[in-house]
Amino acid sequence: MIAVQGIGWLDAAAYGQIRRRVSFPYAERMTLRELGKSEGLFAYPIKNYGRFEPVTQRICCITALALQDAGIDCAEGLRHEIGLLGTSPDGCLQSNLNYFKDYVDGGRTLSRANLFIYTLPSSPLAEAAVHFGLQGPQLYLRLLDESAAPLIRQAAGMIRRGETERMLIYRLGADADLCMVIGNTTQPICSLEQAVAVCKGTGDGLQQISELKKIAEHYEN
Amino acid sequence: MITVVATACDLITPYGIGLDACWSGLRSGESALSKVNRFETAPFHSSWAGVVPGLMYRQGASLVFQMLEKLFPTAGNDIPADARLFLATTTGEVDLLEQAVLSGSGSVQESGLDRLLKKTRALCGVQDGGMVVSSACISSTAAIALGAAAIRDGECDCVLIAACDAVTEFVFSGFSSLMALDPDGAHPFDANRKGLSVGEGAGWLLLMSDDRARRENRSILGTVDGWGLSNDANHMTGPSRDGAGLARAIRTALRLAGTGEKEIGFICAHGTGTPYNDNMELLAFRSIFSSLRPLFSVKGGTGHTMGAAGLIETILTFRCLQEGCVLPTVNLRQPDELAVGQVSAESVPTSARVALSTNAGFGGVNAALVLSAEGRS
Repeated sequence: MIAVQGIGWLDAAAYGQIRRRVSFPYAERMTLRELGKSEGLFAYPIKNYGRFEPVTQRICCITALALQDAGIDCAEGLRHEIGLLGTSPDGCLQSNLNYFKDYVDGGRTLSRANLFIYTLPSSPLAEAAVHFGLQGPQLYLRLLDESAAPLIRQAAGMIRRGETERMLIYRLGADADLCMVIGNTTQPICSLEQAVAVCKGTGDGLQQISELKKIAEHYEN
Repeated sequence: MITVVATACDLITPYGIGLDACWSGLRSGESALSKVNRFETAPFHSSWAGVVPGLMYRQGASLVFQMLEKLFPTAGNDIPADARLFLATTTGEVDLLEQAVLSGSGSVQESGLDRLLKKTRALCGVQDGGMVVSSACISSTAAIALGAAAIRDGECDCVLIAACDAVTEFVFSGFSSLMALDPDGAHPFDANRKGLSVGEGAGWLLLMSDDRARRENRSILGTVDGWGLSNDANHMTGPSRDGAGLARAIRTALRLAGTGEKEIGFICAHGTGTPYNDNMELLAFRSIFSSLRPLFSVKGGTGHTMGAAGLIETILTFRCLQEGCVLPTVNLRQPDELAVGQVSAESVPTSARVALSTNAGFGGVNAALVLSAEGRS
């Protein structure tokens, strides 16, 4: 059955995985930028990770956490038939501002390509796809109510129709980020219906993570 | 299986308002690219772009809103209020952000894609809250795929796809920084191509279940039979050199359509005019097709309309199937060695009933649609 196989999450105080029931407070850590470098989060180094914008770093972190939680191996050169659907309230607004202000400050004659490439709301997903070898569909979707629930339904449809094998669903928010792995599995941690119910509406990211933890515990028991 | 049909459409391109203007412009082989005068282009690698005549830049409403505003009031009863809405764009109203930064007043939040979704919803009169679909230059192709999937799965029986993107200083300077612009204007699939030309455009396409379309006595432009989306997982700005990612998207589209490669009569290619993109596409086609197929790119005529490109090209592909004509590749002078026998500067007659439309974009995304003429299925 198509269900949730693993979840990685990140908030202002900690990061963790739901199937594996682990959470690491930042107090013991350093910064998000250093997280990927020194904590063994990534199976192999992400090129230019330290130069990524915070949103891209966050996406790379929760991708690594979610894939690991779902038991999906990552190795350099390994490719997966996995797609990515993401949503966030502001898309790439901050990146757009960074790029254009830099261009204006520079006298409107030269602009920086390395800032321009992040002026698409799908760019952070693309960085994750490149690093983790994810070859499925990749889309940024935005609803008026910021809900991630329709993304879960879209992902299930793509898998059911044979467009890809698995999908990653990203919900980025001001309070917390989460990434779910959805695919055919005999060992789910949460059904699609439950995931949709939790992610309906704008919601509170921390609360959504808490509810998903409770559902996963129930599945294990 | 529910058949997904396209029943109505409209578009605005650098050739002017309406499909007829764009169709006759492209058929004539004349390019609508022109020298940009809405901002200073001297610092950049090119001054050529495809701009829609008569739009006001940074003087109130955004460029994409002005284009959408010209399209929807004429839609009349074509768009049912119960249509599900998908809005495809890459940068949307980014000229509002430009205005805010340059004037030091106004809110950059006004350029948010959620704001544009609200405005589009109001313009087209649908009740659905709508969804923004953004994935670089496959945005509208992906939106058509999502819409067609929703109908085929029986989730709904009517979908409106709207798409738009504009030529702004923001976008133009960015493509220039990537060294992606052809100084002489794009000439896709040409041996001497040097890059793309940015273009602007907007459009809408109404998809319905075959049952509903016939029940409402709608005219049918064609059918969306299959779709495929993929990622190269290779590089942020460059396509995979061998075309394997696009080939995977095409295979998925053919499989979902239940169509063999032999049935594809011609290809509306992405054909940006960059050396890497066009080469990648030609290699992908060679890996799929057992013989050469006629193909064309519209981007020497319209410019690369980014998030709107897939929708504009889908509409044009339907017209090709209706008219029995493969469009010329505008600005083609000397075909690339790999493209010889496939591209032409002249329109070519065809009896094809099925065609392929492809797009690719930043982040290594690829998309393919299998489209067919009315009555084929």
